Amino acid sequence: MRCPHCSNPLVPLNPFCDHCGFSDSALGAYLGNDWVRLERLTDNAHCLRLEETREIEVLLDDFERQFPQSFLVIYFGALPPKLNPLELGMWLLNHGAFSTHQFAKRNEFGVVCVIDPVGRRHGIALGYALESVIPSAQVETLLANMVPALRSNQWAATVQLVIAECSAQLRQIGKRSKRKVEATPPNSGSGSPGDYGFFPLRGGHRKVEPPSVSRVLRRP
Amino acid sequence: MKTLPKQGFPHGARIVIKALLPFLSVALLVVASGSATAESSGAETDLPLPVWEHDEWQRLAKESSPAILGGLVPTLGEDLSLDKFPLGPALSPKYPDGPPAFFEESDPASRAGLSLFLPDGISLHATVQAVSDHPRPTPLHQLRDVTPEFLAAVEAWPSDDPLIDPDHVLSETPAEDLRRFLGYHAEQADIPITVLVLNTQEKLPSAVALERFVQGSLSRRRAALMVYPVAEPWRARLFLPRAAHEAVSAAFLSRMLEACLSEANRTTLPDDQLHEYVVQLSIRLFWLQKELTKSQPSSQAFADHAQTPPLAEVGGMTPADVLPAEQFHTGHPLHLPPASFITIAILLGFLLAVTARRIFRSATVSARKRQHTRIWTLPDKETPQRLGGAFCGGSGAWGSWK
Repeated sequence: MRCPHCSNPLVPLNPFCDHCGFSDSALGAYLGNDWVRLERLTDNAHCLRLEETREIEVLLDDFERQFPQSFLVIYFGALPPKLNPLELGMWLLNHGAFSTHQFAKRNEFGVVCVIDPVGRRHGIALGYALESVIPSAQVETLLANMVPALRSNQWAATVQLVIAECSAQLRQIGKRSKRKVEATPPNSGSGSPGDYGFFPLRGGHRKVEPPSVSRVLRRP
Repeated sequence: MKTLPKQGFPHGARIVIKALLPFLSVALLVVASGSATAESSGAETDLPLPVWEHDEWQRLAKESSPAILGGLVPTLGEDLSLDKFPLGPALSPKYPDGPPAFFEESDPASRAGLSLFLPDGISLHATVQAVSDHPRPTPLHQLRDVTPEFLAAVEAWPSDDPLIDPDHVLSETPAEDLRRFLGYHAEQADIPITVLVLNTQEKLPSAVALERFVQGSLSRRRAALMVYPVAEPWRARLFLPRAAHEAVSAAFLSRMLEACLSEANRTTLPDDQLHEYVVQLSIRLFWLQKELTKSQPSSQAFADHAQTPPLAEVGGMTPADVLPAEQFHTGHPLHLPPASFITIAILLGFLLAVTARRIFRSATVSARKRQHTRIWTLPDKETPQRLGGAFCGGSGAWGSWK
């Protein structure tokens, strides 16, 4: 494993890079240490059309349906010159709360693809759990395969390529099984509408009738 | 003539009708159309209709019916017309729209009697037979060579007769018509036509000396010899002088034969087929004559009498070349031109492409459905943290596409 900043080999359990001193704390000093909420597809650079956005969201749904533990995040945006895509991906995985279908998904099963159309840079960051599933050489190959589509500004095609190759790689390693319906029957004794997923609106949402004049006059 | 008694309303009824006339007039105005119809029908019943007796009908029909063949047929008289076609009061109008039929279908004796007064060429029986029969080619194994006596008769045939018919296959009238036409053609054209008529199942032997035909006059006259089996124009063979073959292309001569055959196929009557064939051949020979005049060497060669061999066959076409596909069966299941095979290949390719596309799409859809029903569980390995990251230690890669 190499340092995202200087590509120097890293030593496990070492909190910072021996060569450049890079660490998550250093990133936090630059980007902040607070948790940020992020969608699975963020297009700050406005690269995608609405139709392409919808198609990619469908593909991301399929990805999460096939791999219930994992999720994939796409980020389009212009990065500051001092920050490379892998560093941003690392910071997002360590400080991001992604709007996946299951919030219980752990970020260590996440894949973050960052594309900077202004600086013409792109990178992919992996959580700890996927390091053994998608080796670094495979990631570099995937990055090289993305280049032709990126050069022709085919952003949607690039994202589709990333999703397809990551899916293929995860299918090779993962254990296949049939999907089961995860809904559980409600408690039969409670009788609460919340057991069926129905929750009442707050009181302020109800229409309140103004008191009548006669009632006001009768008031002592 | 008898008349029917007059039928009408009784006297008492008439008085009642007169009394009720105003009311009836109002009612008639209301139901004008229906009442008018009823009134008119009632008036018709009042008219006295004549009733004809049977002998009166026969006498009237005898006076008004036209004579058969203008009265020229001696054995068919007025009695026949009345006996064959009894004119009853219910079926026979006074003046028929069309001429009466001569014979009934099941009366061959009367037909044979009429043929006694017609020339030989107008044979009603043969004509009806030829029209009703569908032309069928004689199988190849049933064809037989003409007899040596026939060939000897052909060789000794008078040189001034353009129609060679030793077996008298043609009847007198068509033969004379054909001779007149061939004589007229010989006067107008440089290439006269000599027609050798064969029976339907006959053919010329493979080794036959054409130069000996008609006392050896074919080469002298620079004539075209047409060997024609009656009722089978597709087996007709045409022999032309060698110079004619050299003057025009083989395709020109082939088209000539095809045109003659197509003209002959316009009818099913054997005599008419021969007539149409020869007329078209005459026209095409005039065209060939024009082509000969365009080419000076060919024209000189055509004028040269010392050509050896004198005649050469046009095309050498087999029955399979000229017969319609449905009439000639050689054992091949398909008789299609090459264009049809190309069309079939294009259609099959199109169907194959459509089928492959449908299979591919259905396979893709089923694969997607399978993916929706299956999940993949990833291994959850414990990995020591790096660089202080809780979930990611900087694994991955990045690059640029500048």
